[in-house]
Amino acid sequence: MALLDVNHLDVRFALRQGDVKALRDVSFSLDRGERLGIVGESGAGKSVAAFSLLNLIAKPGYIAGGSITFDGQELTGLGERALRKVRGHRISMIFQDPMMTLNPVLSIGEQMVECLKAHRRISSKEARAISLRKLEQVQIPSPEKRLDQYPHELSGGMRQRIIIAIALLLDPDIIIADEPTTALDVTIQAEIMALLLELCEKHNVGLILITHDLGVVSQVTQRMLVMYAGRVIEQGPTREIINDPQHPYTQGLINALPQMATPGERLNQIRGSMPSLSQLPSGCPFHPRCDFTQRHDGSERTPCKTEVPAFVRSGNCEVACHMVAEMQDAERIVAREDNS
Amino acid sequence: MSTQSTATSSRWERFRDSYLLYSFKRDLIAQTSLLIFVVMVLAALLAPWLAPADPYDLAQIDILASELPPFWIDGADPQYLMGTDSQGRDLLSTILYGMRVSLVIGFGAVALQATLGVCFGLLAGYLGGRVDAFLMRLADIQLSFSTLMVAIVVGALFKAIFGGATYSDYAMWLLVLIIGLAEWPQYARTVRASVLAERSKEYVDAARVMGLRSRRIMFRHILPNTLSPIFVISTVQVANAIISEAALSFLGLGMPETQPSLGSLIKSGFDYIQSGSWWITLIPGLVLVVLVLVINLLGDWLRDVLNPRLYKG
Amino acid sequence: MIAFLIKRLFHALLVMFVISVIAFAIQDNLGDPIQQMVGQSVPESEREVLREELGLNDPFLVQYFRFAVNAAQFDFGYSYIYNEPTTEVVLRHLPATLELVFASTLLIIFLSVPIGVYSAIKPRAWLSRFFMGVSIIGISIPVFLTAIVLIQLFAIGVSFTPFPADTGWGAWLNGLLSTEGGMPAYGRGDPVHVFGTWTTNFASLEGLTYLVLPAISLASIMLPLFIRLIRAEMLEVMQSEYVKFARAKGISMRRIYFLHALKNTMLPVITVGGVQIGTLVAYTILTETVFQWPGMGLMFLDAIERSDIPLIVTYLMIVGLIFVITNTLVDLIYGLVNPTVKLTGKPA
Repeated sequence: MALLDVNHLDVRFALRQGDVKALRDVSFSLDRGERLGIVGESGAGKSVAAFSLLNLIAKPGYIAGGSITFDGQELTGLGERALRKVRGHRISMIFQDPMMTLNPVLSIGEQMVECLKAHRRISSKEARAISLRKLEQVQIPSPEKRLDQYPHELSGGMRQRIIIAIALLLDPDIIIADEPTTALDVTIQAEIMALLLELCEKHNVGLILITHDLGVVSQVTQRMLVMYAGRVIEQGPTREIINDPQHPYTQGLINALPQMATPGERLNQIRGSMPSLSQLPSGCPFHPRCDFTQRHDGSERTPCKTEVPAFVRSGNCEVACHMVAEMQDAERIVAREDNS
Repeated sequence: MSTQSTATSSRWERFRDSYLLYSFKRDLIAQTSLLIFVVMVLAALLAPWLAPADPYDLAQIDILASELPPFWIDGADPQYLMGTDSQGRDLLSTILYGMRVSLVIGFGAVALQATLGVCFGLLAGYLGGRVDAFLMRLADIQLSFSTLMVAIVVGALFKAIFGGATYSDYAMWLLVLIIGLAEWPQYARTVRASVLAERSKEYVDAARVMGLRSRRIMFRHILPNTLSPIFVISTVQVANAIISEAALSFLGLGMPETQPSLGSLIKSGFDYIQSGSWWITLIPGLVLVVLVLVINLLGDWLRDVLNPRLYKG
Repeated sequence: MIAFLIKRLFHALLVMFVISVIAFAIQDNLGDPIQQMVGQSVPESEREVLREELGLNDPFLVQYFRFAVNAAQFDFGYSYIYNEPTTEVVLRHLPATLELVFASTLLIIFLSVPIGVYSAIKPRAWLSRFFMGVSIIGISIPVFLTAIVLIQLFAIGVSFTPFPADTGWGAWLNGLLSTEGGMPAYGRGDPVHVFGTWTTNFASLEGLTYLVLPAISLASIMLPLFIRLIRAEMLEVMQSEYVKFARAKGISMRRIYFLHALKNTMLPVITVGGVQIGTLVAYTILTETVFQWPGMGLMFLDAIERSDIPLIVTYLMIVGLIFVITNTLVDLIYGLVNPTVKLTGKPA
């Protein structure tokens, strides 16, 4: 059994006009020390997925169904007090913008020590010593000095290092990193990512990396899932998906990468934009933007507009696409005919 | 003709489809407040026709009928619905006229504040440098002194300069002037803050690149974008101005008793509260509170809907 | 730290300079000391001699300089009404006002922080809605009207008898609607002497009862303002990323509310508080008038009424000084709470 198992997770936002379904039927799992990437456009539900794992979604949002099992313990429906023992202790988080993540009026030391003291019965002195050690691990110059400094005295890259140090403070099993480098200078992004990867490998920490950067995902993670409009549409080993994406949307994402374009020609892009979660189209949520709703013979593939596609296996991957399913059916029929 | 009107939607159509109207239709408190406010303003405007008596007309005053209680208390005279004050004036009529005075001063003072504040705020925000430093320092000092304090001091000075009698004659305009002068920093700071926010945006650069003059940029391009915070503080400021006027009148620095505002009515009634005639002071007081409350509630609603960035602190 | 203090001191001096120019302009244009000294009967020629002797014909700057030197020694001349040095008159009235402001400030701080924080933590609770409703009504009632209502309710008393008084439940309901009255609402009573001209209402229970109604009235305008401000700021802070991050660290909600959120909430509240102290002093004029509280505000109004220019000028200068001192203190406190200020100048 995997360390973390998410099954059929449903997250909704209770708004005045009715519930908006932010996550639908999201399932994935993570083994100890494994690194998983969650990819998608902004608004696809990546961050909601990350925050709902620890039930940290903001107020009108709530978990409407499904289960989250961590190390044999069911997390949905767990009380605040019990959840608090998991948060920051066994599963910790790294946020997107280091400029906003640290409390401006508390010193770095205070913010590290309080985290340790919330989970372990130790003296302030010990907590400080551990904090110092973690700051050393994230390669911050003159770490003793940093403990008494305030966030505004440090650069963005430095702050993200400190946040990584805080995430590692209690030697967690999993770190959830929500776009950890997006807000940083391009020059520092690679540095921070490399540090995070190195520390996770060294301490055998599982990583859930949320990003829209396919390049980073392919370098850092072993498995990935692609999300679209609150659903997982494709998941499997990172290398397989990157090399041979099955879902038209994933194909579009990969084709849109600048390195995929022929020099001198326009960059490829997926036409249209992601629908708002409150006005999802019927059937496959991607069908209005999809180039494959018609078969080669020009006939309409009707289920695209009426039915939400179920997952089909393709190699080691799972894909939710009617076209893929149809093609597999056809191949199977061909194979059977060949056999007979 | 008809095609034209569909192509460019009229102001009314734009208003009809706006979020402002939509949220107003859903907010019972805002609707009630607006209704009460409109009724009060109308009552004040139509006071000469609505009021049973003319409080300014000395001939109509019957000193023998002084301190009569309102209709629901024993000993009331049905001729005087809300009772009479210490001079025998019909309280209902005095309140209607007084409300008119309070509203005129309130709106007048806010018009003055807004004009001063918007001009200074635009200048400070757009020109920056020394002009900005000087104006904002001035605003800081004035605000740290509190607007009421400034109003009291200026009022006292005017009274000392002009003498009590002249002061009373021109009290209404002097009060507009005093409250207008005392409260402009609120506007100036808010406008300056939004000018600074707007100035860095591309459309202002674009206007400058196009060679437009700075005055034109300021009034045609930047000012419209600062309107929603101005609108929101204006409601609060009208309420404040009415309260300030009442406070000044209560201190004897405002409207004379012969031409009372709500504040001076409360003041003149206060002397009789110990003798049991509470209505002379508390009924005008209640009217004042309701007036200010509905304006504040409307202001609250506007702020929630428009949600502008207001200057804090 | 030192640079910050010097900067603040410079600012304070600048403000005092502006106030002194205004005060001097008032004295120069409105106060005629000759009139006060000799009365109507003295002929113009003698007045001119006196004027020359007193230096009233000197250039404006020379006169201002003399005024400023005297002001620095708290010498503003004699009050017309009291016929004694104005500084002494003001100092005699100062304790009453300071005690009133102090009592109100206590009320404001100890009520607004818990109520504001509570209604931010539980914005949907009926108690929070109640506080918000009461506070907008509170903002809409002028301070002198609150005072008058309090006098009517608790000093004079009201009796409503809409229910039959001869039945037990009727009498009980009538009792709920009526108030006793009898609270002192006039002056300071008999305050305990401390030293010099300083007397206090805090030393005896009886003294405190005199303080109750005026202090509540004075607090009534500021309290709802601060409740609303604290609530709004706290709500905003609770939405911030660092509060989310603190939750993700597994910190207890209590620590998040009262350390992480409250400390950030207090920053704008302190700034506004500094400005509002000035307003509070201004409102003492109104409160003291209603309650005949023998403080500086009442004295000031009396001075205006009787055109006691030296006393008006002295009041302005001393109140100005109080504003400047409190504002500087508030800035210092702000600098101590907010690490981004670093007390070297502008916030980073």
